[in-house]
Amino acid sequence: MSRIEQITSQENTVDLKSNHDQNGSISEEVQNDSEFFIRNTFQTDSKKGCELLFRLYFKPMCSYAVGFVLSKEIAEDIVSDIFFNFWKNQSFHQVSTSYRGYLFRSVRNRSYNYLAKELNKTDSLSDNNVRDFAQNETPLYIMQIDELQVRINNIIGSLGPQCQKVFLMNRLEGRANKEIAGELNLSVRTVETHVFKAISTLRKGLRDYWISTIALLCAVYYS
Amino acid sequence: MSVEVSKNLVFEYFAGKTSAIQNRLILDWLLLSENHEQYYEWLVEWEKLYPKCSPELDIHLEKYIQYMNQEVESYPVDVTGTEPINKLLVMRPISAWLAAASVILLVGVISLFYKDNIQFKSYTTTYNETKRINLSDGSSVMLNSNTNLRVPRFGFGKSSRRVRLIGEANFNVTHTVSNQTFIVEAEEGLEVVVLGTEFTVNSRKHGSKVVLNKGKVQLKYGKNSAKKELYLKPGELVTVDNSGKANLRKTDNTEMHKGWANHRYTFDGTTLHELVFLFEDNYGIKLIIKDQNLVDMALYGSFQADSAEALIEALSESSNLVYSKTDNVITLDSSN
Repeated sequence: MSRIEQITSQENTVDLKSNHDQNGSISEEVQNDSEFFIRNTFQTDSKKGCELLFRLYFKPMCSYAVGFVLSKEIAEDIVSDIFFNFWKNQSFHQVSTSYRGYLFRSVRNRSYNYLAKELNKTDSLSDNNVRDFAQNETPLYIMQIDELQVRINNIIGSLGPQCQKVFLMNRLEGRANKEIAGELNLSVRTVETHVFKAISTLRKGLRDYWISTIALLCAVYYS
Repeated sequence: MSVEVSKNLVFEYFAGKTSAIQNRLILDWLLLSENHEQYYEWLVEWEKLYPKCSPELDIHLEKYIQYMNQEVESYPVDVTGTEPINKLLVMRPISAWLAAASVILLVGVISLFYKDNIQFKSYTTTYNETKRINLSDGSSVMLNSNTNLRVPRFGFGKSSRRVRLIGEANFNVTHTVSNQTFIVEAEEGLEVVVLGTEFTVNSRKHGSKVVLNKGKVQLKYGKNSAKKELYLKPGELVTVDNSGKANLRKTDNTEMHKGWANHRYTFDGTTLHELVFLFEDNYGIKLIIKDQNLVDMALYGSFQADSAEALIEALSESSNLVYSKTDNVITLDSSN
């Protein structure tokens, strides 16, 4: 398996250069170091650079995206897509901030677009707003969107315990309703009802929040 | 105003445990854009510390690496078809028979000289002439004036569909059953790669321009060492200047960029400076702008004109300018 060998050898290079500590958590200083190291890598081998970024940030990016989209699969798709475009459009040449900042901004904007589309299927506004990164994002924009995660979290918290459990198994873990029904000893019908209820509550809760703050904010932001 | 915010506070904020007043503090802190980097650094750290899911890194990384590798392979760079003849020359260089060698050398030199004529068919338009060409694969090309299009005589539509353009042309490319790409080589290493679509390429020595009417095209530009690429959507226009810098913008009216096919010129904020190039490229006429203040003047409007003189007359009339013409020189000046 040459692929695996290659992967492990690259992992070693990251380790060497960035002093990965034993627990696997990366301290601030070291993280800066690895950004610096990756920036150097892009000078000679952009494919390798992309791969290193993927290794470093794919997981935390997915975790960040999941807070918005509540689905592991969709989060993975969003993050993969960002990396695909990053390579296809050679975006790494244009990154003036840290790669970290660029990539996480992309996740925020993509997730926001995804939610906007989900909530307002008829609203064409979101199409114009599809962009990977915003040059001059305001603190208000950053915080309003990031606070959406808290909002979503609270709405889920407000669901009944069984409903919450079923919904997260279905959506977050991407498990089939039948499987969930078997595990929780419920009928498939009940599982479906729970999922439906959770989604409508979420939709309603977000829509209110959306109309009151986000839509207004974006109208200002994108004008 | 300088606000200090601790990592703990921001972590609490990510967890949704901060008060409105604390949020306000973070907002103020973020007003300094230098602090954004710190924010993202802490965000990464927080997401690593408290992950909300366990994504499949290996599977997705594998896909990503595959994607990056395939991207390069699917568009082979060197399929120019120049190989066979060159090889012949190289394969019999040193022979005992000088005579034979010299004959071969002679043939070689001649074929090198006429290589282009043997291998390629050239279509050329003179100044103030447009021409429609139908290619063997069913695609059609409309050539603007002072333009040269080179098409391989052999194997076109079989091994590849690759043409070279100097000048300006509108392409209407047919989609083949085998999904074969159609490649237009323009000046300065610019390449337009498509499957089947309609677009206009302007490849002049002052820089190049590509406008997409429908479908999707891929653009490769930049010198050999630093090839870049981008994808064009309908209604988008890309200009590439001599230094290899690309600039993408939207155009409301893709039709106007091929208006020349009907002797119609549409100006959409075109400067007089750019008009100088247009006259030189399309008519071989030197346009002199006497009043330097006019150089940046923008032109708007659409004109039907089948000669350089008709065009300059219409322009002068609508923009309050006067012109005088001698042989191949037109002088333009403000009217007062």
